[in-house]
Amino acid sequence: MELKNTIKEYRQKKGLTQEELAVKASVSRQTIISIERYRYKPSLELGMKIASSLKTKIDVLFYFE
Amino acid sequence: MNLSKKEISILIEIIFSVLFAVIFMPYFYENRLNSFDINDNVGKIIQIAIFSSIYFSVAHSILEVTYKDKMIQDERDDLISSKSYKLGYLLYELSLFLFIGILLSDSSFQNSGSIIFIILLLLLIVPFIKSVFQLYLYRTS
Repeated sequence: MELKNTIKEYRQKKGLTQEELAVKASVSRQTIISIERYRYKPSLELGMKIASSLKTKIDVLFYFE
Repeated sequence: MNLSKKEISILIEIIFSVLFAVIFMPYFYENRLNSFDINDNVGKIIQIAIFSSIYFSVAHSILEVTYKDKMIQDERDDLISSKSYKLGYLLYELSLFLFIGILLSDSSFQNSGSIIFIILLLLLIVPFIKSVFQLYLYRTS
């Protein structure tokens, strides 16, 4: 089982760039890129921050596949 | 290849290591069999200090002018740092063991009891502090 996410889809739906989402979540753009490409698994705190920045719930953004 | 400011900053350190190896290491290699007297090598030490200062000042000034955005330190940076420090620590430990092996097998170092003592002390203190810190992290994290 691998942890995947729908951040890219939600971000694009909200019309945000990676840079804008990074600023909202107080991380670097490279971190957002890594998470979207499943190369980095964020902590629960960062996951919550991203979910909050995208105005959605964390369980909508992250799922196991 | 699109590199971030942080990656460029790391690249600056890598290039410095390469330049240092190319420019200064031949001098120390040629003199490796001579006893090292700091008074005889003041010129070289000043050269190294001036080179390092100029290199880092120029490189970081260019970096700041080219990339105006502020570097953000986040949890991914912390994770990458701890992974690289772990590798660095393992390499230092391995190097120390190799160094001790060379010292013990080289007859010209037979009288260097103080060097052996210092290295053994380091080998004792470093893992001790590491283990105490690890235990502290397990108890508090």
